[in-house]
Amino acid sequence: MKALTILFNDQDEFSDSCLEIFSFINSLDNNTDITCLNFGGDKKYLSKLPVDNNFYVDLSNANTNQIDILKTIEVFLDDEVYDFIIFQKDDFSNYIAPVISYRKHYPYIPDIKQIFSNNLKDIKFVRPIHGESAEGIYSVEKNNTIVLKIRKNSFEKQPLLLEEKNITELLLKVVNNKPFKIIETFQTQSEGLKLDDAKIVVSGGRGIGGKEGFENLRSLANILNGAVGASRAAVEAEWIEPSNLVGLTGKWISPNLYITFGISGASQHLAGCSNSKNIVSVNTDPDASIFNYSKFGIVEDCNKFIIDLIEELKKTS
Amino acid sequence: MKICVCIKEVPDSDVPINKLQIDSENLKVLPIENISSIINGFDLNAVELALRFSESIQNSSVSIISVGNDLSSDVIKKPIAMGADEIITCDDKKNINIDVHGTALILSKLIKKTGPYDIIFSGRHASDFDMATVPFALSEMLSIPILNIVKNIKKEKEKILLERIITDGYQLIESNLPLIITAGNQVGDPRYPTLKGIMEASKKKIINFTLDQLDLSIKDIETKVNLEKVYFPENQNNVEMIEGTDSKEKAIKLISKLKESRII
Repeated sequence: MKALTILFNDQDEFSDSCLEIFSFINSLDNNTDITCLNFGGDKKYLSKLPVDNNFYVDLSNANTNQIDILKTIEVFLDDEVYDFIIFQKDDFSNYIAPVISYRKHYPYIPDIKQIFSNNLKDIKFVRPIHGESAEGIYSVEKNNTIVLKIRKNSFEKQPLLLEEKNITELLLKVVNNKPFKIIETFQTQSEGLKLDDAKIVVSGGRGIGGKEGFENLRSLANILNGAVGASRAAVEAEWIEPSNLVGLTGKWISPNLYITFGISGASQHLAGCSNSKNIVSVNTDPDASIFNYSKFGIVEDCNKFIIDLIEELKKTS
Repeated sequence: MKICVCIKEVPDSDVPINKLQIDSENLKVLPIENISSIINGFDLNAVELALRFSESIQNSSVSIISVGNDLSSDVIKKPIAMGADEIITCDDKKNINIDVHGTALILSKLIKKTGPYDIIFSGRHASDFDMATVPFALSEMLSIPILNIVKNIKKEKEKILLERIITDGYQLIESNLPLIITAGNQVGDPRYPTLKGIMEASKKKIINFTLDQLDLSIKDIETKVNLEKVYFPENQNNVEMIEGTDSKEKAIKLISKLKESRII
């Protein structure tokens, strides 16, 4: 079997989350010839990727146009037919993967979190649907290349090789007369600890009742060295900035500890937080569905509980 | 300028999970109680962006386009109440269990039949199946370039300028037309329908095309990817409820549990 993985790497640091792709490929078939086409990133690390054929396209221009990347991939695909083309979830892949699939008439399944396979002709792909409230099992008739995009934090990371191996440099194919051009790229810096990076996130919902509750949540976040999140109900009530929104229409996070206060557990919210390692929930309603996703649950008035929790944490630290 | 927005009717994503059930015959997740469906949230952001853009340009019109089977007219007419001009659908009983391919193909036919449009808007993804693929499939079928997650669009002289959201920032882009654009919540809240708008929407006739009228057969819209089963994942978290006489006691117990499990 032949698999191609297309990686869009950060210029500054190597992100080992791409190593999940290789254990995913091994779970499809552990006798796979793996080709990796890297766009950007640290070549030294990338030359240690556990692959058979490794290619690298320099992407140091921040205004790289998707049209040029697509052209480069199309030309690359002229040389070889693969059983699978595999992407991970990021800005470029979210654009490139569906376009490649429809341009080449290959079936496409995004956000895969699990697979079941007896043989390469019979593979079932599992992906979340309806926010995170349900899952769907998908299959494809295997007479063609299949384009897949896998979810982060769903597969083991395969280790890097100990030694650097050969990596072949390719040039970006630049298309003249593009339908759009990127004039400038702006990076915005957010204040405080970023939601995406925080190991601990404390989040408030409708049950918090107002801005004051979020002030207390910020104090709790400071003690725990965490970040503050919110459900859509809280953001819509303007108790907190939209940049703090966790959920289908906001941030998708996977902290080690996620504590919810006054959040009921709509699929809209779970989409953004159900990948958290440990969820603790505080709600006055003992039947709130968020408890079904939690490791620990507390039935209590959340504002009172936040204050008691802050007080007790101060005593123990 | 002729503008259209593709919208989808979906189950309400704000319904708590314990009020949802699986329709195993039609492979769907539905609310248990008689809760009305809604327009996909990001599609309403797209409607808002399209209306703002249209208002900044003379002689422009906004058409709403939707595909489904047994669409609820009260729900899908909302963009008309918000200010859109007309609504065009392919509401056909044969459109059952269609996937990205079928949806995009029907949309492309509707767009060819009622267009051409200068800009086609859509939400970045739908809250029911989260595929985020139909606009890209449409882009390939119509050979019109696409820009995803756009939060602002304006016309300056003959130029179209857009702001496209990326992780931790945005890009300023200059584009030719025609163009497909997807929108997310960064656009800001969709406007509320006005009373006048609601009256107009109630009178507005939906322009419907059947599959036959679009020269499409059931075979044309067969799925490319098979959805075999829909289920609620087994709850692996056996929640441990922390009991106590008051809030303080529960807080003390929680801290010790989290420390025991080395979570904090």
